[in-house]
Amino acid sequence: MKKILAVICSLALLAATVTMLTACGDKTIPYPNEDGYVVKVGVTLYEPMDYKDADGKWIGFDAELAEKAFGELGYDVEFVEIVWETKVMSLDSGEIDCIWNGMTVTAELQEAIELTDPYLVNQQVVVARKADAEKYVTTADIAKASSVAFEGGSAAQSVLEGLSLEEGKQVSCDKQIDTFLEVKTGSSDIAVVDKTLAQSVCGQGDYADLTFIDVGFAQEEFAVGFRKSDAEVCGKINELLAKYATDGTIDALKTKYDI
Amino acid sequence: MNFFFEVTLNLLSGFGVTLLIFAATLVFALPLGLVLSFGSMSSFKPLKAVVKVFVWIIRGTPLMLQILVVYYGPALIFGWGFLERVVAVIVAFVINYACYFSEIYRGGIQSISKGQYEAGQVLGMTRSQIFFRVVLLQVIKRIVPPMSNEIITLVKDTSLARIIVVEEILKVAYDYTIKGTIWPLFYTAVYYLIFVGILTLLFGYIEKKLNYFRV
Amino acid sequence: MAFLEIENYTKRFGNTEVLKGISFTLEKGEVLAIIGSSGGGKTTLLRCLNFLEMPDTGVLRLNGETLFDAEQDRRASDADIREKRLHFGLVFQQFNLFPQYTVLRNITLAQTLLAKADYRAKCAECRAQLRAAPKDKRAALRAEQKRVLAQIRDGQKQRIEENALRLLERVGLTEKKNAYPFELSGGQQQRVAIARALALSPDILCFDEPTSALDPELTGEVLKVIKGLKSSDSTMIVVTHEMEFAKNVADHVIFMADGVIEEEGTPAEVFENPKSEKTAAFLRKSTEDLFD
Repeated sequence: MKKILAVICSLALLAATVTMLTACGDKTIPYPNEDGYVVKVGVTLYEPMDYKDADGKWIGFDAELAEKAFGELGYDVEFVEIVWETKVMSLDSGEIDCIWNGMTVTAELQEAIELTDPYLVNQQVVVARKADAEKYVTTADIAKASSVAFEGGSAAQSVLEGLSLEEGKQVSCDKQIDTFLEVKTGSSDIAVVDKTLAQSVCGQGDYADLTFIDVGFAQEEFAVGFRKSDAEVCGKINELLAKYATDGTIDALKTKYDI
Repeated sequence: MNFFFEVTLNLLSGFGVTLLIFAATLVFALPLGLVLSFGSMSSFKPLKAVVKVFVWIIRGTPLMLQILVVYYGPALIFGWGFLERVVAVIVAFVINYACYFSEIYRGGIQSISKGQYEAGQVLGMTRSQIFFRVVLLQVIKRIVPPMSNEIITLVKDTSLARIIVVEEILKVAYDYTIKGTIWPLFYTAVYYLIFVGILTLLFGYIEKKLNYFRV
Repeated sequence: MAFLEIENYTKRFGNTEVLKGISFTLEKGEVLAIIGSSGGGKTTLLRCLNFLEMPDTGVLRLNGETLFDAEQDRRASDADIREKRLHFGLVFQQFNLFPQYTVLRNITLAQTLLAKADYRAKCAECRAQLRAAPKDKRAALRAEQKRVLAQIRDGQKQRIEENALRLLERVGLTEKKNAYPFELSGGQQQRVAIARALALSPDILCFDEPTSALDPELTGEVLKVIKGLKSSDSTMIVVTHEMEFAKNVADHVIFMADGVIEEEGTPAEVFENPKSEKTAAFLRKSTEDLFD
């Protein structure tokens, strides 16, 4: 009796999981916006792309760009803080309508969600203690480090995979910010993170003794992500991003946020 | 000094959320656990089996996963809306902890000798009289140590709420590290320690109060 | 007509037939000793008498009235069974005192609960009376009822406590009335358990090997108490391994083996002159054990 029930329950759980995986894509952003729909933009605390000012208002390169672009399409914007690891789930479930948070384009993401054309160039850099900085000049030098910290599932992980480091040297962290703590305390020799983040964190506050080095990783691109079902709105945003690239909007924001 | 004061206050408001999750979980999970424990001891086999499988699933999967399922599940599976974040966390915690509590209750109830029930029966007591007048206090005495363990674990488990961006104390502290200040993260230990200290004293007091008899 | 009549009690657990048709009678004020090796069904019989187990077949008559008939009572309600149980008391091998209560509370608890139920029934009765009374008389009636009910409540409490103290005196533990069970020796605990069983004034008091869990030097005090009860005319059924006690105290002895009554009679008949070979073998063995 119990066994049968156990089997039934397991099947039910399995069925629920399958439904979960297949039931995605029901949600869309209405376009054109006639009912005053508010677009929920998924962000994390990630200076200088998205972060809060003293009053708790979201600011940053991406935050301003998102507000401007959606504003032109007739939407108000609400920023929703998400957990980066579960960003695709947040999108599919309708918790948010788009991800605009310095998201590096990867092959997996291209498969899972709808991406705009790149609007900003990024690069992975090495973060090291200032005293050790001269040890790391090229990507080959990374193998010299006794351990390397990076964010699990991030673009940094992808580039590190290309270096075929020993398994034991890799420290996969929860968040990019954790990797700075790893290096500062000496738990890891170096970290590999987004250049945009490294620029804003290294040398600040408790991280004053850290610096970052461009070791020549290939350049990457930031894009905005939507559900596959929102390809239309994604296309509109794409047009606007292309315009901002030529009319100086993006350059002005770059200067403002020191990118 | 001013910044220290600001951090202390901000962490305190984060700790308020922590306490809310803690208190709400206890209020609902303690009685729900008792119901589940009766179910798992029921002589009606199908009910017993369902409860046991349920407890197995909940105890056999990470609490973090359960929080994600409660929060994202309804939207992903049925296309429904979202619970308030903190409510979703509380629902997941109540279900999870009720299962753990139910096993502790069950252990406590089953550890009471059959003789105690039979002594009540031959003295003409009703089932509920036997449970409330004879068995209950003995059960409570036995389960205070494992319950205090579990409840202290609960205090610290609240930090899992961070996975769906609930602003509990650890999340508040983490946000400071992004701005280049690491010490608030470690400062949170003070809050946890003080609170767990109070709980430890409370449980010690209860244990002492129940020391007047032996089972 | 005997005080207690048991007719054809049978009981099986799964495939094992533990009682295979037990019948016996007992007179008021008599002491019946049941002896036999373990597994013979003695304890099951005692548990059936107290309705901790339900016999599969059989009839129990008390004072000439049928108290239990397996045919009809198989599906008796909890409340019915509880009522039937009150005719019997049971003293356990392991005492089973309630550890969280004092000695006095152990003795008064069951009686207090029964009295409370009574009191509540009385209250309900009074309310019904009040509803039936003419409007102008109600105030007076209510005042009168209040007075009577208060009297009953206070009277009950006092009566129960006095009764318990008298029983404690009888088992010689008056000075332990405020002690908790763990503070007592095994022999003292068993004496409290006897007082607790007596508090509900059962018609028949049963003992399930009352001294088996005690150190040898403590059995004497318990047996002495049971002996004392005999002189006060209590009807008792004692399952025991104490052959000397059975010989000296019992009016009637039953030897059980393999679920049947192998032999019964007065102690003299059973102990001095056993008719059955099984009985003789059992008695020989228990004397040998004594000297081992």
